[in-house]
Amino acid sequence: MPIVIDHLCHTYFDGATSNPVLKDISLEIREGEFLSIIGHTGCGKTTLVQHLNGLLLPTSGKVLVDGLDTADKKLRPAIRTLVGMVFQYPEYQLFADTVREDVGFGPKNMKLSEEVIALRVSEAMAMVGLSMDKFGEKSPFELSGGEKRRAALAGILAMRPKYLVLDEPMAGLDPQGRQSILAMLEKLRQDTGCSIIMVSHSMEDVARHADRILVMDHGEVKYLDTPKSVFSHSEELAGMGLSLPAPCRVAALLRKQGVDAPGDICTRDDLEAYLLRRLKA
Amino acid sequence: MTDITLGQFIPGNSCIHRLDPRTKIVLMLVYIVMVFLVKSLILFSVPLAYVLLCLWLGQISFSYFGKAIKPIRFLLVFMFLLNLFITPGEKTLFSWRFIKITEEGLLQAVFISLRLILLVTGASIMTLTTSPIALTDGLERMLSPLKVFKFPAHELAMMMTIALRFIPTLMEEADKIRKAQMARGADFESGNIIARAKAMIPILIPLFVSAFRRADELAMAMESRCYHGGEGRTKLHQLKLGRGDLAAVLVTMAFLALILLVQGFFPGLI
Ligand SMILES: Nc1ncnc2c1ncn2[C@@H]1O[C@H](COP(=O)(O)OP(=O)(O)OP(=O)(O)O)[C@@H](O)[C@H]1O
Ligand SMILES: [Mg+2]
Repeated sequence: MPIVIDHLCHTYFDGATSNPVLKDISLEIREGEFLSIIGHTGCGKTTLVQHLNGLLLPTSGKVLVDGLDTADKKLRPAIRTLVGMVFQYPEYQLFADTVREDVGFGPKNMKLSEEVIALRVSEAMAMVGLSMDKFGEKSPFELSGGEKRRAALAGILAMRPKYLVLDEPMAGLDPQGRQSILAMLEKLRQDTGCSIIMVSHSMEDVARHADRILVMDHGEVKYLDTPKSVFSHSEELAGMGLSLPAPCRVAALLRKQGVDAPGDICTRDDLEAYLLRRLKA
Repeated sequence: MTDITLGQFIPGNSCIHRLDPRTKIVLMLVYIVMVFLVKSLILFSVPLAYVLLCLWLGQISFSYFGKAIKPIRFLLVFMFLLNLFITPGEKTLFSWRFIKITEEGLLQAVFISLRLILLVTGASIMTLTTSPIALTDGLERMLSPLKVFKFPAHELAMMMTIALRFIPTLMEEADKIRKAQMARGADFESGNIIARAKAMIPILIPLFVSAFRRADELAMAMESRCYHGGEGRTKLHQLKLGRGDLAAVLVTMAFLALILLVQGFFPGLI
């Protein structure tokens, strides 16, 4: 069953002022898909994803996770085990004495048995590339920034969510760190069949990995489609303050020079394949 | 959390807002003395009138009176009941088994409650109309004579300014961490007091860690811009006492004098 978002509106009230951030959003997040959410700063991406596990509740409308309504307080623990949420700077949530304990915090809250917790912790740490021998008994505060990020991510993976939500998971990581996290996500999706919902500002990553892209603008859904068709709206995207992935821009420049590059190039692989074909011809 | 009025500041340009912060601090102290001097029910109307006058002059909505009291409502009820039941007295109004309410007790309870209400609302008026920066500036100036005795007035004021500046930041951060831990299934709402206190650990530790990190970074940023304490430092906004301050002092003195006169010379009136 999917996550169904039905006419979701959200308004922040602070004091006398009210700030309508999400305006009538309806969409469905399918099982097993990689959905990317893009949009300019402040358009409501974080607000939207925090509705997926009931951290924020709709001002009006509904969010159903596998048929469970997030507004129902009794269903929330179940929803939070279904939907794992990784925040923008997840390393700030580390608190336990050792990395092992911190990663085990989620499973422990799920009231799993000690053996199952231990199993999941070592599995999750292996997945993010932190070896148990080296890092298991270390204090999370002794890790480097990138290692903290991995440890925090492992803390979510250990809960084995069916939907993994990541809010700009790669902000502030080096290119290699980004690639290894993305590769890890791809592998995770293949192995477990979970859905991945990722907010990101990196158009290249989004074009390369997402099955579908959700483009938001001022709290509304502008597009929800495959990368190829979303990035064919180059002018509209530019109007929303979004850029195209670099390979798209290269193809557009080629077209401007009179080369007949096809319009559906949006990843580096597409571009490479096209250029090779051209050079051979 | 946003309901807390004490310590909140409403920007504005009323005559109260424009008073020198030092005047406001001193007058608040005078006002507190005034509230404690009042010894009769009728005379409580004097500080009450004073508060209402300040609210009106400061262009603050009268609803703030209620908002200021709201956070202390339990304390109020508690103090009222405590004084009502334990004050010894002669004239018994009501008694049932071991419960005994005397006239003195009732009067005492009403007095205490009125005093608390007046103190909290009066103090809120000062913070509502004085920006935290102005407040610490005023404090620094008032404490600066003590520098002769090596009292760190400037450092203290700077510490207060920074602390006030970071309260909203820390609140925001606490909210973020709370959400992140809730996403991992942490439960802050059920269980007994001990379980709840324990549940706070996953919030408090990251919060402290990040507060220390911030403090470190801020100290570094200040030092790299050559901050070295208060010596020889000049101010962007110089504090100056004006005619408004004189007027405020005179008005306040008039209120104080009224209470003293009535209580001292015409006790029969009350
Ligand atoms: N807790 C809050 N209280 C009040 N307003 C908020 C709160 N959180 C966010 N907002 C406002 O809601 C709007 C959307 O914020 P949101 O964090 O969802 O944006 P975003 O799309 O995630 O942006 P970014 O790309 O910068 O992360 C912003 O205008 C912000 O000021
Ligand atoms: Mg965001």
